Amino acid sequence: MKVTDIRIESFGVWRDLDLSLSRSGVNVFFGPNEAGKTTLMRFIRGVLYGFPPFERRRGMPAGVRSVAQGALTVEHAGTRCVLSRSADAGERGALSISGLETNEPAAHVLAEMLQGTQQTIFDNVFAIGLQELQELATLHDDEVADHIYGLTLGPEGKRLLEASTGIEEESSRLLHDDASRGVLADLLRRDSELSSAIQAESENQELYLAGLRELDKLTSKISNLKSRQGGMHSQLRGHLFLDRVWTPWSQVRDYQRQLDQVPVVASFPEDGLARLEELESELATATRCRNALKTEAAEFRRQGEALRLDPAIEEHAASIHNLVDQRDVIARLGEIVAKHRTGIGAARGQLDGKLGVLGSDWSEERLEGIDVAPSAQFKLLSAARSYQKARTRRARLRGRYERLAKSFRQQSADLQDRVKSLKGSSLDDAVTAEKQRLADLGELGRLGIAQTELESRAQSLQSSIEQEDQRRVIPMWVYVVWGLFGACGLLLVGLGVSTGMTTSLVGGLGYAFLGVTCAIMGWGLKSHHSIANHDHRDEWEDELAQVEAELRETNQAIARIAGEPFGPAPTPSVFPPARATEAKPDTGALIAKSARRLAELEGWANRQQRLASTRRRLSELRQRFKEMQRDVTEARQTWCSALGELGLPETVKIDEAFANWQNVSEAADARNRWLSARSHLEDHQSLYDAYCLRIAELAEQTGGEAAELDDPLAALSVWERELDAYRRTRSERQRLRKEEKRRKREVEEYEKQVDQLTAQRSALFVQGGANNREEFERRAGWVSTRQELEGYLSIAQSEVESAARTEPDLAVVEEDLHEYDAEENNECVAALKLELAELEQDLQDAHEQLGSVKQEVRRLEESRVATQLRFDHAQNQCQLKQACEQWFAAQIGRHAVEQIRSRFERECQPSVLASASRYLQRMTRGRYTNVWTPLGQRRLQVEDQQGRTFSPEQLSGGTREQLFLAIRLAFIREFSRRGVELPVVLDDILVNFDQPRTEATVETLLEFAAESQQMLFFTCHLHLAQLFESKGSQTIWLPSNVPATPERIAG
Amino acid sequence: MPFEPLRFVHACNLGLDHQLADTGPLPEETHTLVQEATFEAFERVVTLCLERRADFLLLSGNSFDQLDHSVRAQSALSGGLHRLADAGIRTFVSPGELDPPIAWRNVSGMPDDVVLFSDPSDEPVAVLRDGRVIAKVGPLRGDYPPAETQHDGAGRRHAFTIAISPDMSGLDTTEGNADFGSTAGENATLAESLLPRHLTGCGVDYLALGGSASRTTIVLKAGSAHHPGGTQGLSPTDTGPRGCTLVDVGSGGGIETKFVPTAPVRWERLYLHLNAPSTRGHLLERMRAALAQCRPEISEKIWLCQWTIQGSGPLLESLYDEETRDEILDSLGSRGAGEGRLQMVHSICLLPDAQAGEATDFNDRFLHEYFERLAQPEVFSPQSLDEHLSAAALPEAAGSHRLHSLIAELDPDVIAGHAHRLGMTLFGVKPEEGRPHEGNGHTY
Repeated sequence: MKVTDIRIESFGVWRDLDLSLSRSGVNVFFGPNEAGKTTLMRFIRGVLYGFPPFERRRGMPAGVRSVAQGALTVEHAGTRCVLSRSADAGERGALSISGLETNEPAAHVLAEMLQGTQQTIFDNVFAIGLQELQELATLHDDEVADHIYGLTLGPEGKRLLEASTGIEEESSRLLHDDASRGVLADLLRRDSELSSAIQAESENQELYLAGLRELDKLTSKISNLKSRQGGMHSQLRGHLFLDRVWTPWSQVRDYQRQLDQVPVVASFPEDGLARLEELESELATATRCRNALKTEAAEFRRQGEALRLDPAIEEHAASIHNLVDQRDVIARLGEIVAKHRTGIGAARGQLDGKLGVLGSDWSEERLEGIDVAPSAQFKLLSAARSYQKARTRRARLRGRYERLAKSFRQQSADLQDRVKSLKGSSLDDAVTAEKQRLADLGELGRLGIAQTELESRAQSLQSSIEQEDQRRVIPMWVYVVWGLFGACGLLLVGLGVSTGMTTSLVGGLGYAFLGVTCAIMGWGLKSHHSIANHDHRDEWEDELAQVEAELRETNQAIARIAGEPFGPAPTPSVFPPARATEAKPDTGALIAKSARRLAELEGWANRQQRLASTRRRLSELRQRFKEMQRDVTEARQTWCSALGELGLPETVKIDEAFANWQNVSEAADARNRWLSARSHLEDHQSLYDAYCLRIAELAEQTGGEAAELDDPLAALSVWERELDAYRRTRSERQRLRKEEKRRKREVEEYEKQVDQLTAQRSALFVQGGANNREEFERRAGWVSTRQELEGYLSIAQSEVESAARTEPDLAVVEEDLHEYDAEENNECVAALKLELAELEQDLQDAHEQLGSVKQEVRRLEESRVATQLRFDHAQNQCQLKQACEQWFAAQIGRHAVEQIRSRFERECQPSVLASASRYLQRMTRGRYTNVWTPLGQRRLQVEDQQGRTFSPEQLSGGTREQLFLAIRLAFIREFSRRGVELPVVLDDILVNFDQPRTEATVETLLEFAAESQQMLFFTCHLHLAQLFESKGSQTIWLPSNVPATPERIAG
Repeated sequence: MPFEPLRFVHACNLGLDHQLADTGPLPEETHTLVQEATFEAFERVVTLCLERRADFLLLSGNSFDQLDHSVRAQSALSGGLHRLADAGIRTFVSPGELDPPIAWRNVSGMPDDVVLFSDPSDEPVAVLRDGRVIAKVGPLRGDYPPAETQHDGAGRRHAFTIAISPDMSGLDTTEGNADFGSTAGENATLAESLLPRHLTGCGVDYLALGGSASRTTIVLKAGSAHHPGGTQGLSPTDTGPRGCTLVDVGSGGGIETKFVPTAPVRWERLYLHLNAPSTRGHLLERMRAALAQCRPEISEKIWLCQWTIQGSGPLLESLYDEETRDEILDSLGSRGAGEGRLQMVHSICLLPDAQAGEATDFNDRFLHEYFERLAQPEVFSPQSLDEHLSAAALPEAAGSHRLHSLIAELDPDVIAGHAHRLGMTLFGVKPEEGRPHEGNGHTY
């Protein structure tokens, strides 16, 4: 929208004002103060957005109802219309639009023209005066601020802003800006606390060392006290020792004195009185016993003399006793004799029976000469075994020989039958001939194959020659061509000769050359054909001749082997292809047959060799059989001589000989048994007879009942009874004698005892130095008194010694004991004990102190508080380091984000600020280069050419106005890009600019307006108007005061 | 016979009552064991001396940390050395960086036969057996005669010479860390390059090293230089089995060193690489295989396993979820060792694969620029971190000084990982869509 005319009927100081404006460029309005420049600007604002309702119309008399009325002629979207507004005082006025064919309300049409631009935007950006320019707040309207302060920076700016915020939060979480909060702060506090605690705890070391020093001190003190205590204890012990020793010591003195008063009895027997009493008692007892035993001995003597014995029995008692003892032997001997008499008859019967079996030529005497000992039997057995072994070996050899001879005969006959088929030739000759035949057959096969190959090669060569002969026939047209070539050549030669001679030598030579060439070509072709054909044919013919020669040799060899007559070699032309096949024998079958025959013959030859070997074997067996026969003969002779030596009849039958040997052995045994029984009978019979004779003789000597008996055994029974009676009587008498003797020996012993006791009593008296009992008793009293005193003395001395042993380090000094005063000693003891008690108390106190200090030292040694604190400190330090690392990472990250943000803020600002930066740079002639705002903040920043950043408050007033103007121009350009085209009204805004910047600003405004931007510039400064005029702008001179009709001075 | 056969125990870096650093969160039931780990390790050293009837014990530095002011450390040290003294076993101590001589002098109640070499000029001390000198122990000095002159007129060697050097901080022994399989001669060149020249050929038969180096054996011309490592690993860099060394010297002067484990807590750093097709089962299998390659020692009760998982793909992304991590780690279970089951405490550091990141194409301009800025050199350097901390302008009361002091201990890779993850979260891009930063990681 561009304003082309301003029509003010009534507004402020203006009445009926008509102004025509340029549609582009700067419309400069110059007028003095109070000329109505600002009113004119307010009029334009009022027409577009309504007049200020409570504005007091300047220039109107008080009480007069003010009326605002006027119109703006504008062009918008190619149409022209008039915006009229009329308002009474206190009203914003009614808008009417003329020139448009539309039924829409005027307000809607105007809003469409304004593109929705709010009045505040228009008032703060498009139509501004010096006052608006100087106020930053006028740019803080939401819509304006949105564009300026990056609230529309886009997603990247938002991300960057969020990142910046996030890293700030992270940094604050770790350590707040005031350094009193955050993880790191907590850890640092904890670290400080722990360090303080550790420091405090480290003082324990001093306490510990002090405690150790105190321990040493107390130990030393206790040692001193103990030393003193020891000394006093020693002193006390000395006093107590004196007290303890003095009593026994004085007793020793008393006992010694008493002992000195009793006479000394030298060598008085120990327990003399008791021993005397004992001896006298024993003496009385022994005398009494001696007398009683004498009486008993006399009685035993009398009883023994009363007993009587049989003298005959007594004389022969030993013999009788001997016979009685042998009574059972004699009885058994009688039974044996009877038994032997029965057995000897049976043995004789058996001997006679065996002799009968041996024959009549055998008698007891011959039998006695036969040796049947085991050695003889072994000899016979050895001879029999040798003889039997020789016979067995001979029989076995004979069997083997007979079997081998039988087999040899059969095989020899069979081989002879086979050899007969050879028709007189030997087997070796037949094998040699068959081997030669087999070799010939192999050669025949090889020659057959060679024959076939040569025949096929000859046929192939023959066919090749025939084909070549057929191919060698040259067609007639070839000869015609050769003839033509030759004729042409001759003609051309002739033509050349004639031409050379007639017309031209060169032409003749040419013709001659062509003719010669044609002739040579024809001759050359023919020669080439003939030579090539002849070369191949000659080679084949030579080869065919060679093959035929080889074939002939082969056929001759085949005929020689096969036994066929060798004929002339067939010519190639008549050599039938199938002849070779027909002439060939079945070589394979022949070879097989020959091989089988050869194998058969070789088998016969092997059998022949085996038969020869068998023959040699039979010969060896015969020789061995003869040797074996000699062995048998020798063994038989040995056998017969062995039989003869043994007394047996000779025989070659071993079984018979052993049967004879058995019978002879049995007969010899029977004879031996008979002889043995007879010998035993004779021995027992003589012994039994000797016993009977002895009994009879003894019975005759003793007489009595036994002499009357015939049976010796009955006599022995009588003797046995008599002998028993005799033994009993004699035994009783012997017993009585023994008792008598024993009593007598006892009497003698008592006699000796009595004498001995009497002597001992006398010796005791002598030993005690006494002559009788009374004197002995008196001396014994002296001894007893001395012993008692000595005992007491010993006890007292032992007490002294015991006391001395209890105090080994104290010596008993006689002088001290002599000077000992019990009372004084007790006083000393009491004083020492008192002092010791005090010392003990001191020692106890010292020990208590020592214990206390030790406990304290131990407490310090065992205290884990410091360890725990250092552990906690280490743990906290670890956490502190981790938190510190995180904090430093956050700081580094924040620094990086700040750098990114700084770059972004400077380089990625909204287009408004980018444009503003350009305008400001031009208006300040490059002094200030950049206008930007920190992300998320409503705070403008200006950067000069040296990179320094200033806030608007830090700028000078003029520069600040240039900044705000630049921002507004940028806004207007931004709105223009969006299609919002409104006139710019500037009310004397350059008054604070210096000259260079004024000129720069004017140039900027002109350039700005040149881009289809209508601009109305009001000024009261002539130089400004002139400056604009000098730049080509139109200036409208406004009259001073308020003329009814403004005078148009220029433009 | 040039030497009397002898046996001694060499230990260092006992660190009594010093607490393990950077363990991460530990289960409640392990607290006491972890707190007492150094004591238990020292107890094993003492028991070893008693059981193996060692002639003496060498402590080559850092037996405790004087800054801990630990009464328990002093008490345990005194008690242990008293037990050795009662058994007739002498102890030779060389103060280290953490336990200087002044700290040792403050330790009261030490047995009389504990020899403290507080100055390099201290004279060597003879070790006697049945009235005969079997060894001489002294501090490391620069005036050792060459090995060739260590014979008397009869051609016999002098007594076995031991020198203790508590401070080998300048010694880079990382290459010699494979002592368990190394043989004499392999480290000859190493010895030339690491030890001062006058020591490689000197007449010291056994150079007892100390300091912060790991377990190392260096072959000298006349003997060996040996660092037994610490008896208990105190930080995540102290990986593998830790213990002391039982040294047997034969009659011919041959030195046989045997590693004896003492540490109840063992650190392990395990590395795995994941690619896109990797599955959870595959990951578990590889984790188990990696664990199976680590042979538990008899003394060990707890393993602190710090996994570094690098790679890309959905599986790696799923590991950022705590529940998933817990499920996987729970599936690893425990192993048998020592007196009972080995308790295992795991932590995982996730590192996106740099190559996968390079191969990933993404269009987010902010994320691209974000990673470009993170990829700039020195972004994660200590100087840069210090500048960030200074820029934060934290008051001293808030622990600014403490944070400054912590910068040197921080892991740039972990910081980069956090920054990487933060970028992914802030700009709303899934990790597989963005370009990961090389070396960045997350530790859980």
